[in-house]
Amino acid sequence: MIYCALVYAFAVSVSENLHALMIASILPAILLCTRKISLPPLLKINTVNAVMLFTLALTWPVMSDGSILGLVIAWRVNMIYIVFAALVFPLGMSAVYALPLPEKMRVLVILTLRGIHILHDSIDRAFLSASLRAPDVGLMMRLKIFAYVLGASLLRSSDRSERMMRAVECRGGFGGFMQSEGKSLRVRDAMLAVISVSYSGLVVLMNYA
Amino acid sequence: MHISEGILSGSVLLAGWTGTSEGIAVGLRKTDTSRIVRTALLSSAFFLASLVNVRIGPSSTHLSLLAPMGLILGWGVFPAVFTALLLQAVLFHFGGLLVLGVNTFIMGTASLSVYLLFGRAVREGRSKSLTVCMSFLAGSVAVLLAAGLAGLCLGLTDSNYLNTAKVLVIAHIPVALIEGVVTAFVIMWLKRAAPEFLS
Repeated sequence: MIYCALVYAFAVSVSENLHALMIASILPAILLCTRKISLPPLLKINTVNAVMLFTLALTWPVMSDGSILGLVIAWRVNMIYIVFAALVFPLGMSAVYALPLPEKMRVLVILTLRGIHILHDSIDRAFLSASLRAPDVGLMMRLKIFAYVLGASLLRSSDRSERMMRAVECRGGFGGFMQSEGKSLRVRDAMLAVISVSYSGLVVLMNYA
Repeated sequence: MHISEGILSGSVLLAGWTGTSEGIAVGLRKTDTSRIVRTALLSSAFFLASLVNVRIGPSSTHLSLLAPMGLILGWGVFPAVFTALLLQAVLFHFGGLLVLGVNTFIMGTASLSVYLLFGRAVREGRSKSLTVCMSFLAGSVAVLLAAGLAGLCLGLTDSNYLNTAKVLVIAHIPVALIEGVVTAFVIMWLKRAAPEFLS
């Protein structure tokens, strides 16, 4: 699924022909109607698109060309986001497992995610405590507080990492992180891959036709 | 300085993925298995700290912390940046998967350059003022380098993007100054409280 989405995203990214982009819009349109897609991130993406459109219009040699390019990019971004939101993001961590990452990298991703959850509360508490103790301080002091909270969090996380490492070693090392289930290509996966490549190929061909 | 999906040409995207793969390969080779947990937790701390907004007058900004990351992790910064951006894309729907290669390359290269340029001077800083100056420079240079690289990627996609690239670099000058100050404070704190971090 993730590879199909990536191939599609690449085909859309390199397409400049409007007919090709129209054909490419069919898939996100179907997904938008059939899958549940979270709208707040789409809204945030389009706010960024609006800023980008404004910047391109002002900085492009011809203003109208810049505006059209900005609109085309916004169109592409929306299509790519909808496809990823429908096919990749619901997979969560399975999407990370599906990527051909080396085992060391996979362990790093898992531990980083775990670290984010562990440290989230402690960093939040530290910033809340700092803002309660010093609500109205100058910029320089605010930056100093930020830096010291970061430094303290790094130190704490380092201590914790030593303990985590010892716990990992006690459980038999990094072997426990390996996935027990082997990966195999099913008929449904193969069909999806063929359809995805053909569809993306059609979009790219139309771009250069 | 994240580049959005749908902007860059196919060749720039592929070049970004190639550079990132090489950076990750070298980074993983140089990261000892026993240090993975530490790299992961440092990466998480930086990831979370970069989500915190710093209020500046009526507006606010979030910091990238590229320089402290580079100075502490060294070559390990490539896998750490890739991990953070991958999790941002998959779990928090921020950034994109296709441009992940280019974005990792931009930020990883900026961090690594700072480590190679200023790492030794910061570690062996003969005087406090010299260390402060070097850390400030490291923080500022990292942001400007990242903005410059993002501009270069845009310029390689289409020469008409060069004006946009100039705006991008100019817009990052205030952020670079703030990042320089924060980097100097972080490094001075670490040198006092936990000098082994920079060793």
